[in-house]
Amino acid sequence: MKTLKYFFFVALGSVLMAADCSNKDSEFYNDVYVVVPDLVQIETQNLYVVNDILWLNSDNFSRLITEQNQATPLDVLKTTGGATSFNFTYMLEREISQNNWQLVPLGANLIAQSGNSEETDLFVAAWCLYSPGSDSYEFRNGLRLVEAGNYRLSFGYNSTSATSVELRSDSFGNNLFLNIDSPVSDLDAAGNYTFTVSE
Amino acid sequence: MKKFLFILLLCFQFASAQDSIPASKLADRKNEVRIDLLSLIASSKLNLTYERFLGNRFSVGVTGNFSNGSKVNDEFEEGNRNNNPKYEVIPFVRYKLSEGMKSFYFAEVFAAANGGDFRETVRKVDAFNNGYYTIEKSEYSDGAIGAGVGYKFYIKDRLGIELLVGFGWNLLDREKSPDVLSRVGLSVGYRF
Repeated sequence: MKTLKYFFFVALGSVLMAADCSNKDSEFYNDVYVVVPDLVQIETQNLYVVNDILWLNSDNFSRLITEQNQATPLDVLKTTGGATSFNFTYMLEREISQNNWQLVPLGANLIAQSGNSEETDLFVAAWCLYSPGSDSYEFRNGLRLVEAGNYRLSFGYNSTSATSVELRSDSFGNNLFLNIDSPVSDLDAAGNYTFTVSE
Repeated sequence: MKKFLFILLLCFQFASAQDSIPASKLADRKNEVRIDLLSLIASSKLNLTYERFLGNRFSVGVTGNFSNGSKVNDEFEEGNRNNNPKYEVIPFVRYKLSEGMKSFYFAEVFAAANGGDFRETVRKVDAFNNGYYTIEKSEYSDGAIGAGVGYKFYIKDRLGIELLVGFGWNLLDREKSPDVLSRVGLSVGYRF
């Protein structure tokens, strides 16, 4: 009888573990992933001097974007059930000693010409805002460079790809969330745009 | 939930002292109907079973399982799961592992015809020749096989209390149906 009970509990443990092995039903199914290169661009310059402004620009991307491997443009507004913004993050860091980088507090040096931005202790959260007039998502932020030195800009905070900007729609209710992986051509393999600001 | 069931099962060990009680009227009562209270309370799932006792060791039966719980429905609508099981019809065969009539362990094998709703994200093209992604819903049906173990005891030779833990695996349309079917329950039955 004892053997039987041990068998019983081993069998019970086995089936409970087998049940835990299947996690197919615990995913999130309202995400859609697409790749659209250079949706957010860095307005680069050959030389930077103190008080220059480094601009980030979504080039007011249309609600109709070109999706890789598809014959028709993708209507992002319709896909997301009318999401009025896409969010992403970026970081500006300055080299304070060799290979030692520190986040640059921007404060008033963060110029939100269009779209929205919110500076946190770790990154800048940015939003491309939908404009019904232009039928596009608008964003242009300027970062005033007030000190000389080596700088690097990256979009990799909390991202799965360092060399891309990952934009996510701010969808409501049970609508789909559109995740746009947008490789940025000005980033190096480590995901940084590195530049020097002179006096 | 699983821990609770496990502890409950351990507690039932103490009840197994009844194994030594001689056979009773139970031997003459070959039929049983029962309802799973755990599924009903935890998942709003109606689970009804009929079981026929064939001899000293074997029994056969069928379980009908109908589900329309708001929790699962909400999870399905919110995209936290891609299927929403609605029904299961489960014929089973059981083998009694211990000698007692009033309380015993058993093992079972079962098959399950099951079905429900399925959702997937598809890319479509609208009248303006623009693409868009949308959620499309359909129905699925599948067949599963599985096994389980359980413990049962009777009160006054009529009222059966049963704990069952089992799992089955869908075989035919796993793109749409759940990979695993659980067959876990705490049932109260009437033997006649």
